[in-house]
Order: sequence, then structure tokens, then C-alpha cells
Amino acid sequence: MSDDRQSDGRKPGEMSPADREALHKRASELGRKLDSVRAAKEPAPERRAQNAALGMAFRFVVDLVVGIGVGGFIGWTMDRYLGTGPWGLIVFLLLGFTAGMVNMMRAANKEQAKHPAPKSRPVADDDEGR
Amino acid sequence: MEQFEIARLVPLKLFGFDISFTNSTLWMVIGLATVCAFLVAATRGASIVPNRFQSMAEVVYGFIHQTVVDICGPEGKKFFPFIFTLFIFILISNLLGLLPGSFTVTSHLSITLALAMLVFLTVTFVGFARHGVGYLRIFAPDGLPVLLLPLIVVIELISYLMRPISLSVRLFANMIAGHILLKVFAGFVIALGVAGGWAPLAFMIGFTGFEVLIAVLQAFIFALLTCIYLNDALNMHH
Repeated sequence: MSDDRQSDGRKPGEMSPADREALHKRASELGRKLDSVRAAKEPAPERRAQNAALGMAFRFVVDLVVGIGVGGFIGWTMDRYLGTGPWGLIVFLLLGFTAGMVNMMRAANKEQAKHPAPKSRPVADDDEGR
Repeated sequence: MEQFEIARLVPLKLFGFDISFTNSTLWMVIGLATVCAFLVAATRGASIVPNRFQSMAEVVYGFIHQTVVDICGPEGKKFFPFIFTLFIFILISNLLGLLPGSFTVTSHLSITLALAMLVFLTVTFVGFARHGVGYLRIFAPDGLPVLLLPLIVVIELISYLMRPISLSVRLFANMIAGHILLKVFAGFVIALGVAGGWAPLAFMIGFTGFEVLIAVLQAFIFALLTCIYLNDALNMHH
């Protein structure tokens, strides 16, 4: 700054405060503009994360329901052809439920492994919290 | 609901099987024609600086290619044409179904189950072809106590047999639920008349946008799960 003023300024002492103020104003305005642009761009990844979460929700819900359904169907068919009373249905409904849960757990684990938790937070955040 | 009804346009019979040309068949043909027209328009006069169609096609191709390579590894590239075909067929069927007066091919369980069984049989075949009888080990994870083995094997077997059912039910249920909901709300618009019909109409406009998202998302989930199952069969680390 001082270099600029010396190169073009004839009255360095008088011009400097007004100049500095104008510069300050411009700089802060630019900063504000940059912030607003950054803020406008920020929601995009968030929305993508939301869509990914929606996709995962669809996967999990159907997995659970279909697990119970398939288990129940196997049990019911077994009972019908082997005459094993209600036991086939009861046991295979439970097994189907377990299978659905196992599938969900496995998928959730895999999904979590993809996004490892951040090891260290920004320092300022931590200090203010405590 | 007549929008889901199958109508025979050209009745045909072959060896006692009904192979009539139905409205479902018609919309599949329209879908395939749309895809072919789109891809031909995209690749004709392909240049280094792509035009609109070409860049759209490149985005779709690149997206699916990336998914396949990420999940299945380099060996999965062999199955890229299969997965890309599945994805684009489901995508175009879902999207065409949103047009008023059209028929949603994927809103029928028979279609989605056929696609899912194709995936299931391919995966099973690939698994046995690559690993032989050793493929059966996916039902028994390593380091398992012998006492628990029968229980776990049954659970794993159920979860393996679940795959085609959950794959097909997910797609079919999403499509049919969205269409029924739109239809119910369209009924509300009529029932409430000029005075109160605007609220459901506004909801419908928003929900149609959401349906487009669902249409793309479900096609992607189908392709994604196919990749995951293929990866299990190819690389077999459970």
C-alpha cells in the first residue's frame, strides 16, 4: 500500500486516510460478496447428501419388509407340505426378520465405512464449546 | 385404476402362450426407441467439444461407468453393458410413465421381477462359474463357531433369496405408490372445486417434481444394487 502511494501520490500524508477507508470499504464489500457466493454454492453438496440418504432409506425399508415376507413364505410352504404345524411359520418369520436386520446392518456398516468420521474438528469450534 | 390396466392391442398366441402385443409392450418399444434416438443423436458427429446431446450421454455413461468400477473393481467392467442397459431401460420407463396418458412399464411386478430375476440368475451363474462349489461359502462367513453354523447358513440363505424380491418390489412399489398418490390428489382437486382445489393442485405440482427425482433414484438404486451383488459374486469377501 505504502509503495503504491509513494509511486503515484504527491501528498502521501493527506490522501492516505481517505484512501485507506475507501480501500477498506471495497475490501469488505468484496468479502461480503464472496461470502454470499460461497453461501449460495454451499447447499449443493448438502442436497446431494440428502438424496443419498433418501436412496438408503428406500433400500433399508424394503429389505426389512421383504425379509419378513420371504421368511414367512418359506415357513408357510414348509408347513403346508410337511405338516409341521405352526412351527415352520413361527421359526422362519423370526429367521426372515433376522435376515432383514443382518442385511440392513451390513449395508449400514458399508455405508459408514465410506464416510469416516472427521478425526479433529476445527480448533476454534472446540475451544468455544468448552 | 385404468392407468395400470393391460390392454391387448394385437392378440397373439404362440404354442398356447399368450404373447399379445399389449400397451405395456408398446411403451417398452417407445422407451427403447427413445433411448436409441437419444444415443444415436448423441454419438453422431461426436466431437471433442461435445454438443448438448453428447454431453448428456457422456454424463450418464460416465456416471454408471464410475459406479461400476468403484464397486466391482476393474473386473466389473465386463458387466458394464449389462448394468448400463438395465439402468437406462428402467430410467426411461420411469420417466416416460410420468407423461400424462402414458403407461408405466415398471409399475408392474411381472416386469420388475423379470429384470430382478435376470440379475439374480446372472449373479448366481457368475459366482458358480468363477468359484465353483466354493461359491457356497458366501453362506458361511469365516471364523464361525460350528454350533452357530446351521442358524447362520439359514439366515444367509434367506437373505440371498430375498435379493430378487426386494429388488423388484422396491421399484414396483415406488412407481405404483407415486402414481396412485398423484391420482388421489387429482381427485381432490375435482372434489374441492374452484374454491378449494388450489391447495392439492399446488401439492401435485411439487410432488411431480419429487416423482422425477424418485424415477431417477430408483433406476440408480437398481443399478447400484446390481453392482453390489455382482461384486459379492466376483470378489467374494464377505
